[in-house]
Amino acid sequence: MMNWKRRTEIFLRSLFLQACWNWERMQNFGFAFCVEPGLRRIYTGEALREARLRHLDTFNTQPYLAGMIAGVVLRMERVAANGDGRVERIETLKRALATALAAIGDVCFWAKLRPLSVAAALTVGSVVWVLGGAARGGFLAGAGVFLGLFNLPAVWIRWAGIRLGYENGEAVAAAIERMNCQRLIGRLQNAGRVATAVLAALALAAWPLAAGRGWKEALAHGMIFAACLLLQAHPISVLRAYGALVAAGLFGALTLQ
Amino acid sequence: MLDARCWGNLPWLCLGAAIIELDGAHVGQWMVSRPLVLGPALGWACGDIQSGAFIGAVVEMLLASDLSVGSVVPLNGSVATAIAVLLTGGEARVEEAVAIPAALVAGFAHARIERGERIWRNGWIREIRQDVQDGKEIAFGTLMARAIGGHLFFTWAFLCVCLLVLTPGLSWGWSAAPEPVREGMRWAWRAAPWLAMARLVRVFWK
Repeated sequence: MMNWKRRTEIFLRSLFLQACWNWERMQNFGFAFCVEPGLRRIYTGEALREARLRHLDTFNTQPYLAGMIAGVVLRMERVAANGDGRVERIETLKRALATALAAIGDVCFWAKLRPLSVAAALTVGSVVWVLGGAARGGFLAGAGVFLGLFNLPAVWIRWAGIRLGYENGEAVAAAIERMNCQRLIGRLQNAGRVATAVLAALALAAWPLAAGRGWKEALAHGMIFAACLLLQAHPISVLRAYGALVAAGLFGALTLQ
Repeated sequence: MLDARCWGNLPWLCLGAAIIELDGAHVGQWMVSRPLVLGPALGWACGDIQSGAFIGAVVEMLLASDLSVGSVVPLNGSVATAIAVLLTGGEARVEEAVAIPAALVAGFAHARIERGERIWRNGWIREIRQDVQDGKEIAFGTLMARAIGGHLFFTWAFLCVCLLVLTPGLSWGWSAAPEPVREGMRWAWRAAPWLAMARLVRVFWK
């Protein structure tokens, strides 16, 4: 059942997972949209109606991993339609997978890979800009690195996850365990540390000196950066952080007037 | 290239930004709506890619630790970047020192209104479930078009209204503000890239 055409259908539909996000049932409509073609091939009549209601229930997960859950669900629905499985098991497993994959996906993609891609993009973009002398070249290089570094694994898991979910069905948890997500998160963390250290070193030392600005200006920027790092010692929203900067600036301007 | 200093081009620039903003959550999530990409793209459209790239980079780093997990709707970086780039390249060329904080506040306001949009959709979902229980077919295409089209219109209108209000408002406010206030805001903008980099560094070095 899960041939190239079916997989492409689910993949394209998964791009609209969050189009109709609502507070009551969250991504339920987008998920129902994803699995609808599969459900139509498995069920008709009253059984189809019940299957649709099942998948209009509350659902929320990391968007790039929803395809994997769709694959699992369609496999289990096919088994249940043949009389070899229980429908209640589908609902239980779907909920458990959504929560577990959300936790993994949010850390991997939003908390690690995206900021890592930003740091790498800014490093490459600024190097190309300064050495090449053209802003457009720097932007193209930076945007290319950002979009490539983030989207390659994202598109891969969106595409491969559908088949992984369908082939493994209920045993998908073991397949996920073999992917060793903790080690992956650790590697992303280390890569992020290297990328941000290089970016900070370039911004604080290399570029000001290359522009002939001298050690005093580099030192002043370093002190401002250190103060900002201290400001971030506890989680603080971006508006409050910027507000603190404005307050410091006003205080300085009024004091030195 | 559309000159953002011409009022007639503003609706088209806002429409382009609103279409790209859909990538943030509604369609695809390919990261093209991120400030790091949208900033220079809008800057290039307005004829000043360097300024757009710098604003985009600063806003992107400022939002590095803001995660859209679960039901959280963080400050909308795409809207904030679009407003910042179009304000600084617009009719009155508002200074970055006041345009950036105003754009961040606008991004926060857009996120709050989007929460209302999500509550509004609850009614649609209840109707769909009732229709399925009554044995009717689900009009997926219609509802998707309504959700995406509605959000696109809302974001476009929000951008237009913000720019129409903020451009003259901030220009007047800036010229009327005492010099120490202006100097303080300029200092905050000069320090903002370091705050942004500190937020990015803190993601990995806690």
